[in-house]
Amino acid sequence: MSEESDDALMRAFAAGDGRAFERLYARHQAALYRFVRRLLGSAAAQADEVFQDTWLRLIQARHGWHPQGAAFRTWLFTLAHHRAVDCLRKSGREVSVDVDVDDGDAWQPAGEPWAGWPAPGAAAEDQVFWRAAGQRLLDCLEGLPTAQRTVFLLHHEDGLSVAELARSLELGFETAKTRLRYAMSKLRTCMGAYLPAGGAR
Amino acid sequence: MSDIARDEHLRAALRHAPDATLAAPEAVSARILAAAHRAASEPAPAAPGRRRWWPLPVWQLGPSGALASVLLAGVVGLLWHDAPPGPARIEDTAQAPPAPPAGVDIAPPAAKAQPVAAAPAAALPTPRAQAPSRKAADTAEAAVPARALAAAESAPSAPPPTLPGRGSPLRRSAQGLAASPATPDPPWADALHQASRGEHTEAGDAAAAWLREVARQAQGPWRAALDTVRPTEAADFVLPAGGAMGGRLWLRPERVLWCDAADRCQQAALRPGAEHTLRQALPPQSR
Repeated sequence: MSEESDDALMRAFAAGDGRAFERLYARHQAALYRFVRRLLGSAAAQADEVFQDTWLRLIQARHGWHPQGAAFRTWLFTLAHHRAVDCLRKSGREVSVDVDVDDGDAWQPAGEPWAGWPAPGAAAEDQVFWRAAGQRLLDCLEGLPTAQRTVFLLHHEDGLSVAELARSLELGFETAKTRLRYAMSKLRTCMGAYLPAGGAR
Repeated sequence: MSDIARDEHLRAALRHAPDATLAAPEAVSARILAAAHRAASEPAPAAPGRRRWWPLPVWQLGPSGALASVLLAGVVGLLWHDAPPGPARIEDTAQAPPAPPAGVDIAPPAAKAQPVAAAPAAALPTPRAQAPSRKAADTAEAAVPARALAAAESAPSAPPPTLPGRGSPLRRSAQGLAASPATPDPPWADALHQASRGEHTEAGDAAAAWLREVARQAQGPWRAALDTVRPTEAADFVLPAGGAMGGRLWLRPERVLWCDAADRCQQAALRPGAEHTLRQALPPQSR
């Protein structure tokens, strides 16, 4: 059975098909909820509010949805990002837009940064290692500026390209690319310091 | 433009993070789904229908619109040419009712009511949620779930705005908005005309075609832009005008901004996703 596209489901919902929305929701809710929680970091208590508000805005905008350019999923995640940043600002957490100015050169690994780590394919015996790595990564994400955290999550988890990041976040291409490089190099450093090569095996 | 390769180790760590299997709480999901079903059961708004071609400026008409204009002009010309001369008009004049005294409003009720009734509708903002707008997020109230739900439920079913009695503050406000400079037509018609000066060049035609597409993708009226929304970065599109600059245009995910040579700026909403399409079609000579 072929899966209906997000665009088709959104059109059906706009035409009055509530079940189409249920399928859209089932398809994206977990990833979106995770994205919002990770983006909010220590302010994750407000994740429910941001998550719900994002979907309610989508419901309100159903008649204006036109599947042109950005994919539905990109549009949804960008909408959630704006709501999350708004929430962070209101809660008094600074959301700097000049995160790339004073960071100096992005760290570049001299060689293979993950030498000695288990392969990402995650054999069963490596599960303990990867769970510890996952927890550490969440902690490392907390240390990133929101702007860098955003581009990393959208790029690595949601699969946006740098060009799509730039478009959806209203950034220049080079700015988006720089933010992503900084985020990745900081995360590698943070992860490497905590989990030395093969140390957790 | 090259992408950056994803780090498979970081992705693996993300996949195995403790929150990787989290889903939205059931109560939140239930509220969202209930709101969606209520919204789906509401009647859809009337389709906007095709835009009539006769109020459009000539440069905005497609080939079919131009042909229709020529045909209509021809038919009117023929009818005029075949019409009986003189006496009938003299007779009409003789039978015409006397002119009303000064100060008496002779407009039909519908004509009198229309401008005032249309004013609030024109003043209503386009739905902010149509695009993930940063500006919209900046101005939005922090929405507690219950309040947001109430807004979502009430917004689509709100009755059309009506005006209270003559002289009330709301009526005066609506009348003032009706006189605001919002216009359905894109603001670059003059600049485009001066840029071409009646000559057709490949670059000029490409720029005009692209601007037509921008106009097609724009939603709602064009409104004067405040100084605070004028971007500081380079424009996405510059309209040359005989060695000078005829105007500049910035594309945003949810809006388009045009500033003419005198730096008077106007903006309009864009259809969601239209920015990407328009960027891809940008005429290279004008970037």
